[in-house]
Amino acid sequence: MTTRVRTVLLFSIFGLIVFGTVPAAALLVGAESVENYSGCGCSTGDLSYCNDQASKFVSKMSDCGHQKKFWYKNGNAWNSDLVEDQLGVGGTDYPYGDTVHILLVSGHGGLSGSTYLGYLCKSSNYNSCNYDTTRTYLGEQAAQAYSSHPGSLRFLILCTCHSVDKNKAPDVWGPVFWRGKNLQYVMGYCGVSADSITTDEVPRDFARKAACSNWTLKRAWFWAIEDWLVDDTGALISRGATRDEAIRNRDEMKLGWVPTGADPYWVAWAWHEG
Amino acid sequence: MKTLAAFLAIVFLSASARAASIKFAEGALKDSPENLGIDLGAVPSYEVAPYKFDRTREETRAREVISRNPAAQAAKGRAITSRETDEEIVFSAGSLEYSVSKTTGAEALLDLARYAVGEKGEQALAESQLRQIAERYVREHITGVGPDELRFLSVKRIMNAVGKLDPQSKQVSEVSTSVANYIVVYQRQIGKIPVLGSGENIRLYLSPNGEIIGHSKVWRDLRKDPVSVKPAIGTDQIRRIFTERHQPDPVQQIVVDQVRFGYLAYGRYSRQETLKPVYWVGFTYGPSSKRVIELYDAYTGQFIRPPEEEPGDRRPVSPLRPRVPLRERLPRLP
Repeated sequence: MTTRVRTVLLFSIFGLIVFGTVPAAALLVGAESVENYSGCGCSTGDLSYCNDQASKFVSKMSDCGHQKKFWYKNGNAWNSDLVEDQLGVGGTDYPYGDTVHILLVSGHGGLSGSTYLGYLCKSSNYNSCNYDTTRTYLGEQAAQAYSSHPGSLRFLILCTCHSVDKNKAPDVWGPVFWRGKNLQYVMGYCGVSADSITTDEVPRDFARKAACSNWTLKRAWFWAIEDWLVDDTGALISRGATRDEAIRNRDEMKLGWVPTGADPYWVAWAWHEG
Repeated sequence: MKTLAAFLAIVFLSASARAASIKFAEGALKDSPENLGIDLGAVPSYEVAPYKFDRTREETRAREVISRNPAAQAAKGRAITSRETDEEIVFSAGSLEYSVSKTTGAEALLDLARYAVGEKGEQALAESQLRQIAERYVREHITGVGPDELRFLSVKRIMNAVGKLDPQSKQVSEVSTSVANYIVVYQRQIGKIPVLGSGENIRLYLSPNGEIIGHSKVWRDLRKDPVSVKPAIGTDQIRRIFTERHQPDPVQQIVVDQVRFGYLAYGRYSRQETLKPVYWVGFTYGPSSKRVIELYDAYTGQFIRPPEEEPGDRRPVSPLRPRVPLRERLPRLP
């Protein structure tokens, strides 16, 4: 090996370690959304624009070079897809929710103490109208608990209320980050979010900026929310082995970043206020 | 006879049990047209002058904005490049981006290096200071906006926080928070009628120290004379229409917390031919519910239906029919 080749190789490895980035590669994209709750036996109240949010998101992500794996809606969008399959409770995150790199979920959502509850539909093996963060093991790498089916998920978008609460976000998402080293970033809403003709384009706008224009996740998510309804308050949370890394991940992470495998000793989050 | 009475009682109870309880929260009507002093007897609609995208004109405008705008400091001495999609044209110079929507002419100027990141040494700024800075910027740098059409709406903040996570307890400590940006939001108002929705607003972006770092303007040109002037229905009538529509919903309760009246404007990428008045009714089903926003034609009270949606994917393995417990199939008792 010539000195020049060795130098280039060394610099490449150094760059990969330090910046944790690789050239943007196509991500696997998934989406699940429910509007017709009454149709799947749940009395949570029907919505009108969640399926539009999801379909516009996967369509724009595909336009921007990523690969759609699935978009399930209404009775086909299962709570179990966000529940760990190895827990023995009927979870199907494998082969669904945790087999993509970026997953968007749109529907109702809420908080109970330090637990986030999301609402999709029941399935034959998981007879519940919601899933919650005590049973989510997303993005587990080999050697982590319940990793006989390692998880791929890096970026989670929860278009629901209270998905990233400004006060509770570290308590809710910190434990989830600890369980899965691949999971890097959760984007959502602080407080109540809107189901409206004025918000159905938020995920598409996010995809336009994050995937087509190479904006950071934080800029793309906040800009998309600011652009569609002034009442809505977005929020997001990321992780890091150190304080600086957590801040850098929160502020600068892009879709092309790959997980470093570091434990989340720090979390950094952000939200809209006012 | 007894059997018939029992049957009728069951039918009555079932029907009343299925009815959703609909409440209007205190303050829900504060933005009703009656409270805003809007004359519902003669409400005009306006035609939107179609926007025609002209690349040369937008390039000239981009050069002008980048050379003169105080938010464009990052672009000084940098070459301007552009890229174009079917939706917008984006000019870049250093960390500055200036984009124009090809369908509406909506513009966005942003120093990306200073947006949503946070800067050190900031001191909290009062809303009055922020509004002063914003008003001056609008006067000097935002064109085509009548001062009587501009209504201050709110100051939004992007907040940052960081904290240490305990590996055992998973509790967070050493939390510190800071302001990343202030966003001053203006809404368009035509006469006394506000424009609702994603369009017809201006947002100004400020650093934590109060420097303007960008703006967004979605502001359609309107024909001067109204396309029609008609009476609109009152809030009482819209309440009745809403209640009748939602009474049969299979939910326990509906709490209405927003009843607004205004013109509906779509976002920066949506073509729109007219600005028409609507009622905007926002409600939730409970503590874990999204706020549903329904729109009603303010002239007729007709519900404005969401657009048709795309079909989703089918599961690779056909799912069994979702199991619904018996108690959920029975009507809910009041």
